[in-house]
Amino acid sequence: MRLTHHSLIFVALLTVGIQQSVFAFDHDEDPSNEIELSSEEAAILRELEREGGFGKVRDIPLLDIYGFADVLVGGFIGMNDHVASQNNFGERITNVMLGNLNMYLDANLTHGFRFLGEIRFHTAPTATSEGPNFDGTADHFVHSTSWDAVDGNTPFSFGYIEIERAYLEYVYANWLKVKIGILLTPYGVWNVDHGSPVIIPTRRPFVVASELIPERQTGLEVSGLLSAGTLRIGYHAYTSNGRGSVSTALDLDDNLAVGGRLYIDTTALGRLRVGGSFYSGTTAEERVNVVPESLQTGSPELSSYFSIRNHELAFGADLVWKIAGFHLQAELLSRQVVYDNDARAPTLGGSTPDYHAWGAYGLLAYELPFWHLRPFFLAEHNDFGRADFGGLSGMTIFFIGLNIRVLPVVVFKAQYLHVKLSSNTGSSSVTDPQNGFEMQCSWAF
Amino acid sequence: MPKQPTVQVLICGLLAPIGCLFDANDRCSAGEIFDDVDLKCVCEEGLGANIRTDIIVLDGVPDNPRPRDGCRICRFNETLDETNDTCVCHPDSVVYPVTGQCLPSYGTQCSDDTQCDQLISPTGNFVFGRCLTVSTSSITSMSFCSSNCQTNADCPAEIGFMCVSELEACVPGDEG
Repeated sequence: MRLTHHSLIFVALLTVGIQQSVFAFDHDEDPSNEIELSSEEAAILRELEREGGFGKVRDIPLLDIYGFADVLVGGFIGMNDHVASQNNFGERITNVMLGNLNMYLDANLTHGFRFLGEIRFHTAPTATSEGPNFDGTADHFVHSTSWDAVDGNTPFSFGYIEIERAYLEYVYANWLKVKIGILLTPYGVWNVDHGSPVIIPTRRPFVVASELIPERQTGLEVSGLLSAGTLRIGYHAYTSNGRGSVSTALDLDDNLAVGGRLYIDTTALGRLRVGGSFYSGTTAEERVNVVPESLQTGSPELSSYFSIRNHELAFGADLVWKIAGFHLQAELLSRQVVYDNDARAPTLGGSTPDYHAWGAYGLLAYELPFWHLRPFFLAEHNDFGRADFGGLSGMTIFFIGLNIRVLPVVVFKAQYLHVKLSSNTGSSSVTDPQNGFEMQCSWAF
Repeated sequence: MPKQPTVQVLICGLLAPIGCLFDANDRCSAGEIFDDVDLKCVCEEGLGANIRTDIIVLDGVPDNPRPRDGCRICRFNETLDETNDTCVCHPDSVVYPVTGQCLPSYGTQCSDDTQCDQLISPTGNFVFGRCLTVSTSSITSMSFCSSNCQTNADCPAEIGFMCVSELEACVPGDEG
């Protein structure tokens, strides 16, 4: 059978793409690594070479496709109406929801170049809550229903996709790597390595999820790793568009953000890693409006201004220590925000003050010597530094649960959580403690 | 003086060599004070927020309330709505659509000139007489009692009217 160029490429990509790289979500690669091909793959590629036009086998980018997903069951128990209006869980303890469906596209482009893309498929906007609105009302959940015209107009729910990251990396050596594109910000423990099978509880601590340091940025990053015996020192330095609703594509105020991370990793006493990170940048939101005076002239003119603009400085410190089955992990994050005086974010009956938010968590887990059972306890505290989330000023959460790795790539989790909310107004309707129970199944593929 | 929580002080202390942006004693803009109960900036007593009244074409955060730009003394025909920290039109006034100014409403909305013939300004030295329709293309329009003018001197300054040369009519001015 004589294969055409296109069909051979398709077969080659499919065949090679089946190689699984479970948990190798952001692995460090030696640029000298060769891609190992099966005999079948090599035969296909030799055929491609004979067909001409492709040069050497190694000139063809090879694509790995892998990913992770999780399903969550649970919700809050006895939640009051005020808090229920702040999220889409309500009191529905039997919620079943697809949490993540993330797909990685990983291509070794040869000669030190690599592409990594990660795409998350959301069920959102379905079931996202539109409220509460500024007038205190809350709309019903969003429906995202369309109809399949080629299948009898049957209804289906459509969802969004999110680019978690997409970058080109050039690896000169282990001590010098350069990435450009949409990057997960290198800080802490679970921001870059964020696959749900890796996270010990059902979700990352709120301290991390609340993005005191932006989760991702669009820009350029330089990183590297130096080794000396059992000690490794790593660094990251980056510049980007910074934070903002359109920062994946635009830097509205032409003011690049900068940041970095430094960490030390040693195997001298178990596995210990200590790191520190910082981020500095501006956030701007822009409005375009008609110049009122121009309306009277009959030729309306447009102008723009920053409706919100602030400067921020954020820091993080993190520690992971794994020894004799114990897993100790902690992070402290802080974010200072100072607004331009004429561009403060409006709030209900006021405007957002400059604030200094911070949060911290500590996690202790222990892996039992049988069945890969790992009971864990996590405590976290968040101080928002201003009124947030419908009037809250802070939140403390305790998790206690069990993590079971039934297979290297399949993890079951169950946890009970107790949430203490705080508000300066002292309103008990806002600060009644909340309790929840969640189970999750997560897997890599 | 607001007290800065201990953790923030510690963090800033540790980071002093790098810099600390946040100043617990200066959290709001000029004319605003920090409300440490509701944790937000509100206008000083007697002032109302200067809400931007421009006509938004594009907005990155369309669900947000209109941006504020500091605080100001409420203008003529405005009263302070302390709940929302803003100056709002007096119940006897209506909103002028282009600038957002509050138009005195002593019979001001009209459909023809005859409805304005008997209307005089509060000091009695100015007679309205023209029903002016202000159209803002397809967005909105309104009609109110005004008068022809060439300069500001032709308008009742005591109620904040000024002359708009393009319209050759008196309208509520910025200074109110």
